[in-house]
Amino acid sequence: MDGNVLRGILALPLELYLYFLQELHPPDLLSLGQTCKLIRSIVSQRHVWEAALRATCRLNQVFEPSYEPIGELSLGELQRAALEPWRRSASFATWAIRGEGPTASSMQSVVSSVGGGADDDEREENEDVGASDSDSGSSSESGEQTASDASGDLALTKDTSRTEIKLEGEKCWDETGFEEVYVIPGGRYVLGRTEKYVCLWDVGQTGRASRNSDSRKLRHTSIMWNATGSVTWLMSAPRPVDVSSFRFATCEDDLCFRVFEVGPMPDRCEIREIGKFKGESPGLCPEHLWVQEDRMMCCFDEALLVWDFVKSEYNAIPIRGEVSEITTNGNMVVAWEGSNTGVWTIPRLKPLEVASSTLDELLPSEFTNRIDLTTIKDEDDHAPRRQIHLPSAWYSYPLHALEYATLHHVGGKAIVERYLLNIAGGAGAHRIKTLVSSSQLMDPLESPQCKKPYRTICGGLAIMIDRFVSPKRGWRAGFIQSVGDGALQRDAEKIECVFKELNVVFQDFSYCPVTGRAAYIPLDPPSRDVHKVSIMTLDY
Amino acid sequence: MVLLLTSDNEMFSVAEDVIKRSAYIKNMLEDVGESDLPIPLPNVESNVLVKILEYCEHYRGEPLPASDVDPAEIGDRSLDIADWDQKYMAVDQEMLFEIILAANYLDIKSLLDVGCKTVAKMMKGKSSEEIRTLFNIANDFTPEEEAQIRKENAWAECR
Repeated sequence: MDGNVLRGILALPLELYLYFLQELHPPDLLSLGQTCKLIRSIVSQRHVWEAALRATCRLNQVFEPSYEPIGELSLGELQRAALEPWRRSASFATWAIRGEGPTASSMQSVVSSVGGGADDDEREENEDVGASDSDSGSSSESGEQTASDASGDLALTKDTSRTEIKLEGEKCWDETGFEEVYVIPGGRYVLGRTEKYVCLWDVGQTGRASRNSDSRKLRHTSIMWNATGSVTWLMSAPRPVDVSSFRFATCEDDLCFRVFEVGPMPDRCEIREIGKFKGESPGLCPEHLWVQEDRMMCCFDEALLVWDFVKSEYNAIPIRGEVSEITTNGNMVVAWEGSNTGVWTIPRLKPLEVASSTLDELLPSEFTNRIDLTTIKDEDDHAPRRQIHLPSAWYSYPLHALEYATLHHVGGKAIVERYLLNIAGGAGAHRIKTLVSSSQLMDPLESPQCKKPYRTICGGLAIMIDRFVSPKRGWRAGFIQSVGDGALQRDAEKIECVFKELNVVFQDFSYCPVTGRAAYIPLDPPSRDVHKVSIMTLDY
Repeated sequence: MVLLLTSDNEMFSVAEDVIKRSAYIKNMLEDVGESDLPIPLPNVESNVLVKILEYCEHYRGEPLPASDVDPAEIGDRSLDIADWDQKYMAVDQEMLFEIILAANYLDIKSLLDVGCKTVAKMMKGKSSEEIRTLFNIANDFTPEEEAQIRKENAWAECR
């Protein structure tokens, strides 16, 4: 600067910079910081990046404690954490344009060479490596990865992004294995359920050069056992309570519902029981469980049970017809019959008298105020059957709206469509929904085996579809992506599809698109590993 | 009517409910009460004030926005700008920054918002070189510094 009066953008006072910097996404901040010294000094302020990381967490539904406390991260770590989701979405966009997915080899879960020496898993891991070598072409992605390795300690190391970690559960008397697994969005924490217990692991922050999980067998951070003798049937997806705590619920075979809370993390990582409700009704079969704020919902064939575990109140709403999908938002129940949507109001809850509560008694006999799916049935019975995909439980809807995606087949090809449903009008049949985007015609996709909800990546869409290929090659996983940042989302009419060959045989699979970290319950080899969950980072 | 005196000594007579969109003037009117004396605006030129008044006139009668929005509510901040505002903001850059400065000085939050969003939108998705050209920013890094910055950012390049 040569003493001239600053003009234009450089003449703005500092506080106005901060004003529009908060409108920018991290990649724009990065570009802006490379324009000139004055702007660089403004953009390099710590709080700019702290705000950018928090906004990134909100936009991508990332659990904040997935990072070290944000106030303790270095500027470089802050920048990298904030930019990570955009790096990922950019690489997806590139693939979509090139019309190809990542190569099979880059998707392989390759066992890391770091960490422990000889142990009893060595033999089978070697087998894994052998299997991956057989069909690994050279991957350009890994070449780029190496290039960025050279740029100093901030670089992602190749090993980190291709590590597989085995998480160990607790061996117990009847040798039941893991049945469900959830990666908490952000990728640092993983929740697993067997018939006997639920446990939580801290796998370490993603993308850090040094991680605390060098040992390939990581013990759980916290474990919660069942009441003696009972078997846990179901677990709900974890759902955030605030920026640093989450809740989930389980249902045991005697219809004992339990709600747990973890947090505030990372300081309090233990699983605490915060509510228990013993229903005792052997005739009923719970199908789907979810938590929303202070309520737990359980869907049976015949009714939707709503239990407020803070006020100890409940109600059960009879259901007539066949539910394809059901969820709640605020005080509304939204249910699908085929692709028809209906909205009902949750009736006032009644005090729960613990002494006399078998579920049969609790379920109302009079069918007033029921969820009657026959009333929303469209006349057109020939409309293609649609699978409904709801966003992850981590996603919080605005009170007036609901977002979901459908998958259906037309002429042998599959189509994914994304909808917005306005529920501000209250109860009733809702045939008016806004189609936000749809995909091109794709190769036929079969029903998802594990129906984990879709999650967003940078405001886009990610549905996970699994397909059994062969006993040897395992499951083929597809991620359907609509790439575009939050601001551009409205213009993104096309949903692009990216498929990844996983080459793992699993029972349950959970994926955090923002960090690429995935957890699955291996089914291979069947006799061992029953108390293990595997973690891998899908290599971009 | 309220009298406003710009930095280039032009006098404007404006209806009170129009100019009350400026929290600065609104507070001043409330503090000082009715007065025949013009309010001096030493930081605002007449051509900018004309533009500002066009905005206030357009939104005349609409409720003043709530002072604070919970940032958590914003969730995915969208850069959506209303059609009228977009047309209004289609001015040369010098005027755009004058409007932002004046909106800041006069404390017209909604206009400041629109202005900042407009600037942010212009920057979105652009490389540093494109931003320099767009805003006429001189690159004052030495080649060594540039190389250093590129090296530092190599890991983060995502487009």
